[in-house]
Amino acid sequence: MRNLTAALRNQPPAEHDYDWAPIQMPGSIQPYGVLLVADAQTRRVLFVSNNAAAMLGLKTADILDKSYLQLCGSDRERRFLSENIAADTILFPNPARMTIDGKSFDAVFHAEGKWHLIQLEPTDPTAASYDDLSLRATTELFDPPTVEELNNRAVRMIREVTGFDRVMLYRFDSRYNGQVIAEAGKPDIGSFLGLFFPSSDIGARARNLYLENFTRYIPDISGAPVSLSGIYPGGGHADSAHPVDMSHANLRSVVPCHVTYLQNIGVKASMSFSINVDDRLWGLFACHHYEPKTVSYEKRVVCEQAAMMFIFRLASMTSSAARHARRQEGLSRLTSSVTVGAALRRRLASLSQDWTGDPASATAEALLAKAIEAVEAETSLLLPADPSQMPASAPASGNQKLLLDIAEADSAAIIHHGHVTRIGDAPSAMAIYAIASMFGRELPDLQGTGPHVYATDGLSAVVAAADDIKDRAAGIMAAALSLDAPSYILWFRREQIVHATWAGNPAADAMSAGAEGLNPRASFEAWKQDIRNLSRPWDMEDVVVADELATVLRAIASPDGMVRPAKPPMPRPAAPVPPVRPATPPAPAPNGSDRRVIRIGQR
Amino acid sequence: MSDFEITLTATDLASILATKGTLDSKVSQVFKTKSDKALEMEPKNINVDFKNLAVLDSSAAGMLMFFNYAAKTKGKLISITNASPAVQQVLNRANLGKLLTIR
Repeated sequence: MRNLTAALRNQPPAEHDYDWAPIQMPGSIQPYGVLLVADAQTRRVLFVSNNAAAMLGLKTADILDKSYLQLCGSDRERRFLSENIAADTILFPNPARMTIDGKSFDAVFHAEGKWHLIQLEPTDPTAASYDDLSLRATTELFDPPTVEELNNRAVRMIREVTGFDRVMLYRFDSRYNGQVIAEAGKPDIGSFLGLFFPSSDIGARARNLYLENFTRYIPDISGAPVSLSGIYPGGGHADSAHPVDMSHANLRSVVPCHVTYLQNIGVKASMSFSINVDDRLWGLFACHHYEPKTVSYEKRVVCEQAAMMFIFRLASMTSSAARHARRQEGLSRLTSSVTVGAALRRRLASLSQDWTGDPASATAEALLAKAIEAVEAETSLLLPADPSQMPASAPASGNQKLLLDIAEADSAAIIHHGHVTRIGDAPSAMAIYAIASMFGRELPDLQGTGPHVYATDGLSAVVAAADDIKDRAAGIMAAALSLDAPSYILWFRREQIVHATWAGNPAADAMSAGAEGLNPRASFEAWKQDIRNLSRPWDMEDVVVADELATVLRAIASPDGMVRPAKPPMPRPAAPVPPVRPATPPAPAPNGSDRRVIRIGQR
Repeated sequence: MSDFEITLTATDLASILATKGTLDSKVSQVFKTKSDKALEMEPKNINVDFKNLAVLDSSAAGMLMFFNYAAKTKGKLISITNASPAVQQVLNRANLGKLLTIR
């Protein structure tokens, strides 16, 4: 399958200077555990956190440059680790047990390139058994009657397992603004249900980390970061020659501005579990506690697994599979109809050419003309024999309705050589001409070697003239019907206005520069502000459907019935960068409530 | 278009679900139809063979957790075999080895 990722151009979240700070290589950890970084081949310890003496009772010098196996006080544990860890494989489910200097630790192993990272946390002898908790979580999520009940059961169950004061289910929109859609909490701490949080609350790097590492755990925000000592200089920091990548490590230290942020709002422990759908961060289970709070590794695994069961159950209950099948069936019907119609048209045209004009056959001639007319009615829209004869508009019925349904669009238009047919409540022909005139300039090239499909939910940010038609076409998806002529299918989606109450002014940047680095925003007062200028976002499934239909139509329309290769793109001067307007509305509500709301999910 | 395929065969010792392609939420019904049949078959052991499975996503890991739960309620044991390194990585991150046997 061709890579169509470049075709999807929904308006991105606002960018910030701190988005790509190397937070995964801080060169320090949180103090609730000890980190060992070992060579995967030799097991030799290359880095150790500087709290080893306090937690393990061993000097750094007694650990560095020696095998981590020598730390085990038990022959059985040492043998187990030796037999089940190879350079390229870790054969046991985490955690392993390691007894060091008479104390028991949960040892969590994972591979990071040619290194193994080992996170040691004191074992909690009172922790409930994983098996019991896991069974309860599975039972709870196995068969909820509705999606709302699924959401509520999930937050209740995670709160029960972790004991946190508040657990929220937080869902992202296409620009990574988030909304709390379910919540379980202590009765006396207020509610955040329904509130929106701006995308600036979680930077791009942090969002990516959530795709790789499903848990972020901060048991005590006041814990001072612990640096690393190593056999290499630089302490494993990002700017050293041997940085330690902690993307998959729960112990990774917390960026100072986030600590300040949590201090500002009174949260002393925080934990979140990512919900990833189709390689995208769909949402988070976000947990807050107003005192430091320790949660055992096994309980965190139960919550991580609950998040995965939640994703599956959500997908099956919201019928994403049924929706996929319905659209594929529509696409199949539409392409069959057009393919058969094109074949019939060729046959009838041949018959018509061969017609002898015998007056005795007037009836047959009339029947042939009617047949041609009927076939033309079915096929001419997508495969016009003569573009100048295309109707100016077409009702949303038959093939036209299928055309809308497969892309879940509100209206559509077909353009062939400057002639436009509008389907349903599409913008005016003039507006469509204006949009199409941008193809190849402000809009990515639909010809050449591009993906031949382009989709955005914020057309007016790219084509200023589209601001006037957003009630019909805030979002557009275009597919090229020819690789060397201006012929397109355009699908439109109307503006979808979301009335949002935000946790603070979303237009204000979350961070500002201060004497000691970045300072988090200090105001979290409720702020009413609509989300405007955008349609429902397009997704990869939309793009794939558009690509498949356009590929079939190009094949039918080509002289030999085969898909023609794309011509190499013509060199042209660089297009000017279009002004991108913010997708957020202008004026705030004059008075928000004084309810304080808090940021969740920061790493 | 989905590229997922699944076949169910049985020996005296185990039912075998052999998978191919991409296992994600979009094909969950296809997986469920076959896995439900495996749960009704005689052998106590069900082997999910990932030899030709290229991709497994988080939702599919969740589906396997539910499948394992359903199997336990029927007294069956699930094992996963032949996972590629990429699929094995997802299984490890999901800590599925705590619930069922991965060989």
